[in-house]
Amino acid sequence: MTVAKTGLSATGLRKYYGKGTGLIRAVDGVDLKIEPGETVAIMGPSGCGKSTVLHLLSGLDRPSEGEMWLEGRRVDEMGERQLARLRREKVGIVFQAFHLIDELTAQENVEFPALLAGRSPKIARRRATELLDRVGLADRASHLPSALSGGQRQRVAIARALANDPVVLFADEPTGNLDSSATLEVLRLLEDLHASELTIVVVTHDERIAATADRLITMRDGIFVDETRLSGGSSGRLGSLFAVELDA
Amino acid sequence: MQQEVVLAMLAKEPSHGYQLRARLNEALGPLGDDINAGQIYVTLGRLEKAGLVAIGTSDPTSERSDRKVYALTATGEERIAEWLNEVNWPRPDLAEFHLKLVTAAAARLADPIAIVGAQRRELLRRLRAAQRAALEEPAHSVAGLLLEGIVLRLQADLRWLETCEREWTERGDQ
Amino acid sequence: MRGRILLTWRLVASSLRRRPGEVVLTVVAITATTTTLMLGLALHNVTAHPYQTTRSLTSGPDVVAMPDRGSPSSVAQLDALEHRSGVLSHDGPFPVSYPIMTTNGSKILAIVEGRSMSPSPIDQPYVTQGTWVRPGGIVIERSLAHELSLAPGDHVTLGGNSFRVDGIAVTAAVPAYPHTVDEMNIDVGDGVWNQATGLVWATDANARSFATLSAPLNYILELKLSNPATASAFTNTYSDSNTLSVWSWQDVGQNDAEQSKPFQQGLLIASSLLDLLAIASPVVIVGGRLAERTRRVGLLKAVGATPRLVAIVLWLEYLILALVGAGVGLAAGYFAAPLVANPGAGLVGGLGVASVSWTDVGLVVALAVALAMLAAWIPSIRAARTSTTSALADSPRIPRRRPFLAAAATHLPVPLLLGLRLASRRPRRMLLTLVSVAITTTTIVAVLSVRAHEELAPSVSPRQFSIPYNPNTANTDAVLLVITVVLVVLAVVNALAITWATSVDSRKPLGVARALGATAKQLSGGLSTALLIPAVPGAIAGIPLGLLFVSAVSHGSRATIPSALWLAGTLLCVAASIGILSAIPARIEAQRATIYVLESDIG
Repeated sequence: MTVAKTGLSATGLRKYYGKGTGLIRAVDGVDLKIEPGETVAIMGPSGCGKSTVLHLLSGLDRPSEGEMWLEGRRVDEMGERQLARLRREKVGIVFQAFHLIDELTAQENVEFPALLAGRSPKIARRRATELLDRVGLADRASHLPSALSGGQRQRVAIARALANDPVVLFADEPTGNLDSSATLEVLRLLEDLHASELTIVVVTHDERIAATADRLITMRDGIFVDETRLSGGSSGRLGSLFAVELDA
Repeated sequence: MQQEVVLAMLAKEPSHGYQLRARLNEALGPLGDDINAGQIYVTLGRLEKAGLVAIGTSDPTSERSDRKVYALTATGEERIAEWLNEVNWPRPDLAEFHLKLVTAAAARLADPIAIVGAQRRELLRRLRAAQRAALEEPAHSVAGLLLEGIVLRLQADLRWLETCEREWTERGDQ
Repeated sequence: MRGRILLTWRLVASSLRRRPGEVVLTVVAITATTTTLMLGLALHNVTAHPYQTTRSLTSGPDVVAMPDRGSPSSVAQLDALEHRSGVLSHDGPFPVSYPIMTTNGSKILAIVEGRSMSPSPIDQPYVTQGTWVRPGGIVIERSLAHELSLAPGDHVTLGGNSFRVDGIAVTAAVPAYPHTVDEMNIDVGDGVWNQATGLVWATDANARSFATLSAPLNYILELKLSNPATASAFTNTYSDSNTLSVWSWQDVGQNDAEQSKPFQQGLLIASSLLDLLAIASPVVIVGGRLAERTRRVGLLKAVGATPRLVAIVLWLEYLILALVGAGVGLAAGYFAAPLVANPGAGLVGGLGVASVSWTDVGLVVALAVALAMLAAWIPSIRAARTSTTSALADSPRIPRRRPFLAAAATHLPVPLLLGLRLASRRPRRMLLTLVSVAITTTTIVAVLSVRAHEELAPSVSPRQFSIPYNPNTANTDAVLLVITVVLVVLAVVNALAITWATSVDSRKPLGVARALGATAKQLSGGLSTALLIPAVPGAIAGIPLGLLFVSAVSHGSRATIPSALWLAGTLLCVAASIGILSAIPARIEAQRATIYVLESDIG
């Protein structure tokens, strides 16, 4: 198996819980290869293990078996300190529950990763302002999360995930807690990010979010069962896809 | 679409054919790109025959059809009023696909799961295309609203397809 | 009805089973509290009147007279005393001699009183071990025996001859060892003069046999007055005499009291400290994390429990823990109390029997029950008030925004940044921590202060003979040692409870920080900082408070300031222990994968 110098890949990924008759195979042998700049969506019914795959790939959890590479380095063999570094420098994560700090403003939330990485407060603040601007929330910088709508909160969370300029963005059901208009906000942002060089891996049950991806992987019972390439085909003119005809 | 659509386009004011086309395009956005100009004129002709539209000319000297000015008749106005109040809704036509799966399974012609999968892929691509188009529209654009509707319908269909996949898988397991 | 009881029981059992760590910690804390309280109560009881007990048991004399050495008309003087007005009856004069007693490498100058084998009407020493005098045997005063580690059956050399120790007894006529009213210097040969100490009783014949040329025979007379209260006035007439030493029972009583006074005071301080600590611990327990309770309450309500049932379940949970803790604490306190309850061994009272009365037991159990009710009360009130949905939603209170702190923190290194932000989330917990640490430090400083005083003012002047330390001081030391050990244990328990509560509360924000790339060291440092921010001021405040406490309890007579070294050491120890203890939960969390820390509802 040739190891790509860039991009994200995994082979034989497994995650088990429990033992004996109580053994749960949350992830039961997953192979994955993601090119840099690609957007990949993973869909599946609840309990299929898609979130677990994401946790494993992003270093939030440890696999029971399998190998993972990010930019040519083995992630599954990394110690906690290296994983922390990974999360600081290479990887950005967005959660369904946002996980923003309630008593900090949007700006302070977005600054946080830069401060953790040791940047000066001034640089951290500048970066935060840039990012909030990018996600369209420049005017909400000094608002607390409680004063923001769900969609705005998730956009702040995305801005925070981008703070240290990661190479991969992981999103775990980013619109899970959002209504349709908030979903649109996030959707727009994801399309936007897709256009940049960012590699994106998103787990979702929302077909609309999945439709932003270049590739859609369907998962069931811990394994990948389908893979569809969504991009690169000629969609032709829209009118040919959606009949708008006058009756004869 | 029914011909009442073209009729209603005239409700604002009497217009030329090309103006009607422009209005239609504006309302439909990118989806209107493929509407055949000829179709509109054919429809207008029919409407005139039915007495719903009257044809006049702005420039009496020209013989070209695009110089014609179309206007509503009184009957036409009534017809529009009726049409506006109708609550017909395009009926979802899932039966054909459903029967595809049933017959394929019964006669062992093909694997229903594969059929569903293929259909799903197609719909996903369409969803992607429509969604992109919708996002490109400026905020509050009328055309954007139409695209949004298409996206949502596709999403609903996709959900049904997922259910089909689940059901037919279980059926296959038995 | 039975179904309801069963349901209640099931709820309680399942709740306790789910959180073993918290259960253990709570039980330990309550045990420590009750043990402390028990010790405090036992010590209080020890200050009963030991001298009075001895006096009534031995028919102690009201007045005792002893000629000064070398006075020829000594017996005649005693004779005159017997017939003075006011004297009801007399016993003696008993012969007194001053042989050298050697045993186990110790050599002291003994005072031997010659007595008959049948009981005397006045001042019949009360035998606590063994038997009264027999030929060839002696009975030793209890303090002295304790000092020399002698027991019935041992052998000592008196005046060159070997004698059997037949018994150990106490008397109210003469102050207990190492004090004596015979201030006479005795020529022990080699031109050395020493004070005689250490009372021993022997047969009349044996006592007389010890008289030597340089240490001739003397006599002691015991008197009972018709009015015992006038004994002081009686003895005052002889205060100027340089041929006769006369003292009253009040002198002896006071002397004994003074001997044990340092000890009594030490006890008083110690028991007060313990009571104080006993209160501090519940403050931590009760003031601890209630958010968990809120969610649990929400769950119970959601499945249909009435607020009353919820209250009962909560109360039962805590009650069980409290009673278990109280039971263990009572037992521990009962067995530990004798270690400290053994003052001036010469006095009968406080014989080492832990005087724990049923009222004490009742008090302790009542405390445990009260604790349980208090702990259950607050969340029960909340249960009645909050709606089920908001209780289930968890995250009890969104911390208030503190813009200045949030901004200031950004300029600090990461662990301090995390710590400051954590601390500002829960100001009430910080205050609680500060108070708890202050109380703990107060008690430690108070103990140090008492120790420092003891070192400054020893009760006896140094001696030529090889005699070990003053038993009273020794006992005070022993008491202080036990108290210190208890303090340390309690302080550790307190610190653990505080640390645990804070770390559970900090799990979420630290989890987020970890997901964003903070290292384990930074997270651990953050938690430690969050704890040290209130702990250090608390420890510093404890120093003046400790000194104030000591002087308040001993009515201004005691507050010796311990050396700066000790104080600095205390501060360092408190800070270091908080720092170390906070590293433990951080370590434990570091073992789990980030996602489980972040989304603590999972697993």
